[in-house]
Amino acid sequence: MNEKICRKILLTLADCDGHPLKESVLQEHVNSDLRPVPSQADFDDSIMTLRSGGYIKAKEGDFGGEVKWLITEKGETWLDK
Amino acid sequence: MSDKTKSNESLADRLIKAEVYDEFCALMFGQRMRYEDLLEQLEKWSLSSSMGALTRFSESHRSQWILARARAQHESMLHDSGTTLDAAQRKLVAENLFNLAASPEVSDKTLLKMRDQEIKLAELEHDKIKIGQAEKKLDQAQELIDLQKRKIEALEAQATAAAAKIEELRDPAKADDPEMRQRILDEVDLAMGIKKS
Repeated sequence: MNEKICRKILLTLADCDGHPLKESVLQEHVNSDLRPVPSQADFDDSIMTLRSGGYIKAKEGDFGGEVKWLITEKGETWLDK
Repeated sequence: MSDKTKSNESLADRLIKAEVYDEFCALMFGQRMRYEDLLEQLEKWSLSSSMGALTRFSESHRSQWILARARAQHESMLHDSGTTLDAAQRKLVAENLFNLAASPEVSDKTLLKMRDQEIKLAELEHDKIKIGQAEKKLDQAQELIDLQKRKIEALEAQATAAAAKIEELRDPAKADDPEMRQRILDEVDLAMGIKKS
């Protein structure tokens, strides 16, 4: 798990104030802030880790379009630590 | 504020002290002004900086500024714009706008265009639904008119047949039973409101 990427993902989603964020836009934030720019594989891996850990969740009922992400309470708590 | 923001406090602090922080962020992230031009602008505010400092400032402040812009767009759409749309459509457009405005790759200028397009698309969709509903009502009304027409035609056909039958009955030569014939004619006259002198 890449903690820098995961932290950036959680910080970005926390700043969305409850609005679901498209995965592509989320990746733009990660790529624009982190150096070196994370690889696609590292980004995907971080998303999977955060999702399986219950730190983020996909927006319900949005299976037709691009996946959107929301931070969970567990994710918020992790950021507060 | 994130950890990274704290690491670049000097430029941010100086911008805040000069009361140009918001303006500078709008130039850097909203207008996506070139760094050379940003440095010139800073000089006009009597602030000095460097390319490296601008890069660090950008990396530590861009995300928050862009997401604040997205939240503002969402709120603005919900409360100030798109009054021709219903609440559900406005909410949908607001969510779309949030994601458009949340992209660090989208400038304020592009965002304005996209916002107008989103609203126009939603208005077109709204009109399409209204036209669809009106067409459905029109079809229902037309069906009702057709039904009434068919009923009138059927009644007219019945009336024509009845009139022919009456004419037949009025011919004494065709009557087998004169008493019965007269009784039927009297009933017909009565039903049609014909008074006998």
